[in-house]
Amino acid sequence: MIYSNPEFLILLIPTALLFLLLNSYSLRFYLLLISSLLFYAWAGIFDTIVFVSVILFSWLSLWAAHKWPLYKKLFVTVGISIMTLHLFFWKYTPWLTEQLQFIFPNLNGGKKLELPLPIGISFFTLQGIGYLVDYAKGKASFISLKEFAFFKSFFPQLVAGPIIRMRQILPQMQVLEKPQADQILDGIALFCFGFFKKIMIADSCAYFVDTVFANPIVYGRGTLFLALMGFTVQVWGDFSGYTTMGRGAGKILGIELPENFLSPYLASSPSEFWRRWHITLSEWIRDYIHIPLRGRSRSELRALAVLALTMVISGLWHGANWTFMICGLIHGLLLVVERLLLSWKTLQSRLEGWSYLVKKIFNIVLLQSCIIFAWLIFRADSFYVIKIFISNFLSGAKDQIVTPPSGHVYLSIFLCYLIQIIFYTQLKSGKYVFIENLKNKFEHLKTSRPLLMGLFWGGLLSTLFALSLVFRYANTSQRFIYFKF
Amino acid sequence: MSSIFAKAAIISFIINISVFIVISQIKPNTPQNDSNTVNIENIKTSGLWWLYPALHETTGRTIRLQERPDLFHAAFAGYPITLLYDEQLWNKYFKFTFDFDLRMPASTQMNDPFLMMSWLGNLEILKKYGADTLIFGSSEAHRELMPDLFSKSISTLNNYKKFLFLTRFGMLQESVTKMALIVKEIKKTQEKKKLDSVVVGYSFWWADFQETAEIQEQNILLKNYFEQHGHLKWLYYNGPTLFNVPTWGDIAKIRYLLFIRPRPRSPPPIKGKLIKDLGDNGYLLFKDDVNQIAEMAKYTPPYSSALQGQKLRGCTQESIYNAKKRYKQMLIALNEIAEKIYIYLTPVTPLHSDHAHPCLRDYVKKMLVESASTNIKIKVSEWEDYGLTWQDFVFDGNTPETMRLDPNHTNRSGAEKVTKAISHWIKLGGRQ
Repeated sequence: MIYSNPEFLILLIPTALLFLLLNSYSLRFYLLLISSLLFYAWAGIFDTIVFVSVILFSWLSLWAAHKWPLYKKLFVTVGISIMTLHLFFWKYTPWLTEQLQFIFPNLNGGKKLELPLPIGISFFTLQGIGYLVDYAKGKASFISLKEFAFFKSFFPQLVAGPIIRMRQILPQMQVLEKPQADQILDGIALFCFGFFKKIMIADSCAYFVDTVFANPIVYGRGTLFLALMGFTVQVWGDFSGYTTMGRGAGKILGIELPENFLSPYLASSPSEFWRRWHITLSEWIRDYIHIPLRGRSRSELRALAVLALTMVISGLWHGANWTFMICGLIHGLLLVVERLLLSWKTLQSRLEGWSYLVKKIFNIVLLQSCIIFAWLIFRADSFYVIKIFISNFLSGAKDQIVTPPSGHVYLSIFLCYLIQIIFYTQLKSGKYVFIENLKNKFEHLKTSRPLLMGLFWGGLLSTLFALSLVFRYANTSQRFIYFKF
Repeated sequence: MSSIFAKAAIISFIINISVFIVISQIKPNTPQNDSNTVNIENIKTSGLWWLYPALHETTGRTIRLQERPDLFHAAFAGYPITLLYDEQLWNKYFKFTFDFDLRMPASTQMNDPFLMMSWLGNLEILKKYGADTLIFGSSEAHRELMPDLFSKSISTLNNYKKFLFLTRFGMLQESVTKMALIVKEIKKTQEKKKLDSVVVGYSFWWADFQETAEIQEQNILLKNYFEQHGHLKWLYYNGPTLFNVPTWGDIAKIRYLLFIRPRPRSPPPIKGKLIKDLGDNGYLLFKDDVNQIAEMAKYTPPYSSALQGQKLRGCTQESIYNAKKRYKQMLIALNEIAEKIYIYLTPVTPLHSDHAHPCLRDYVKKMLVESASTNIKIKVSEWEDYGLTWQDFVFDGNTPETMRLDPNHTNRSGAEKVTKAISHWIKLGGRQ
């Protein structure tokens, strides 16, 4: 079920209304659980069977670990292995078979192995593994099957994140308070804003980007660059749009989900980028891969190797393809370079005499160039596409055929950076850098003229939503990019 | 206080969105045309048909089909005259959108007339009067096959009687598949369970056409058709692999393309060059240059208002996979409704076919040829094999000194060549 399709609202609105009407906690709990399973069942019976089996098997290992504490680690390991193996089987076996066929051409009768990939598999597997690890370390408590099922299946975060931790959802799940009007309004606002990002930014670029990437050889430098920029904003609009809509849906149902994007394209260092981009995944990888791999070693070499390896694993998590792995490696190397320079600040200090703003812009542009290049690797279906992109770009080739209309792409790029500038926040304080005063004024007006401001805010949100609807019809909404991960 | 704010905002949001949805459901008023042009939808409401000269849709004239049996027999070849006077049927027919045209016999008043018809309306004829041969395809099929010549050429064989075109401008391969399912349901209620044959004009761009407003539009039309016919509803909602779920487009029928996107003006033609006709499909040229088109085309990039490059992919694994998958689905559906299936690659100029990567075109040809069997006959001839030349794609321009080159639709002489070749091929039982 895609958030930007009407069937999602057909599920969300009745669920939210019933949730408000029901007074019993259990009824509210089961309502959300059933809606969540219904949401996933929309993907198909096969996906649902896999999903439910994963929930059952991983909970059974948790139950066994709880029942026989002596063998806690063993059962938790079994649970983690089941989830890792099933992720590996569905996601990586076809690719691995293809690679092995270079050595053993008759493997699988020489045919390409095709397996259906259950939707959102990477997200709910990571979430489950995270919980089991926390349980083994004593950071999370044992929960019943129904609570576990709720944790894994809560639909506003189910298919493409944010990847929630048990500690974030358990306190809310055990209360399931009815949302107040303010919370519902915030949810609506987030949902509309996410929808706007998905339709006006991501989908507006999709045709142009897909067309150029499908046949890059016939396009010249300018078109290729525009397509690459288009994909850069598309992937942000798509993924952050999805998680914003999910957070909005969660809020409407009274559950807070963590923020996942904080103006990542305005980051001025690679590590800052990962503190702003897909934050919940970055944190998951840090806690469950990077820290365990690094261990207590103080070796700088090991630290650098682990950093690069972690990012390669992160790249591979996105999909079974060499391009994803290399994209991860590029990000890993960027982090390594940053670390080698002790900190990005060292680089800044070498630019003595430059004003703070100039240095900041220089850093952002430098990092953006690297990220845009990494997106090329990420988006390309094969090395051939990357090669064509680079060679056509360097040779200054010109378009050989009529280029697809690109007006929307310029608008999307503008909107993407404008939104990130407007909502740019300081990581430590969480305060908006540019609109904090405006926000305070708005809060003041909300108190002094609540009715007028309410009508104004409702009008603004509905305009945003209606505008996105109009463009959605014109563009035809695309599937979310991260659904395939 | 903030609660008042939130409640006011939520109520305002709900009211605004409701108003928006209601307004978007209102059919927009089409601007009145000037005295020389007539809106096809307005004509239709009066139960009149619209006959117009090739490529000049807006400068035609209204007719009553009952007064022109010659046109009736051309458009609905093989059907009894009782159909022409079946008022009940035409009442239904005129409720559907008129969305394709057929080339009619020439008359003293019009050299190359077209009759505007209804895609879904023809299904009503199929329901009540049956059919022996159905023709599927996009504009390349219905504009290049002359119905009267086609039926006359083939009717020497006894088993070809009633010909019905289920074609449409920009008809997609998926729509052929869906149409075939509808036909299957209709045939269940009839004595003759299978058609003698179907003829499909395969447009190469079907191979990997991307999701666009066109797909959306055809999906909505077919979905509405299913919904209006109760017994077909089940099929629509239970064919998940073939049908899309309702989309926002159903809720917000905003005519974005019509009202927001400006229609570009065509630049003036240039001597010795083919100039993109941005207002309509094709190229503009000077009449004096008509014999130089082959030379000029070498230096002209491919262009089509429907396929401006953005909707057709290159030759990737994905596009090849899509081409195969879509084609296979169509064949399965067609096999269910007809004894024989004739599929031919519609002949177009390189200025149109060059939209697709050569390797994708080669693959499509190979894919079609490989699907041939005892009941599936395939013709993948190049445009030159039909005896077509650039001159067969040229039409009169808007001014006496200019002409228009339509890269994927033949003029009358070209259509005669194509029709004769296809009917000859069918008469030979599909042997090339």
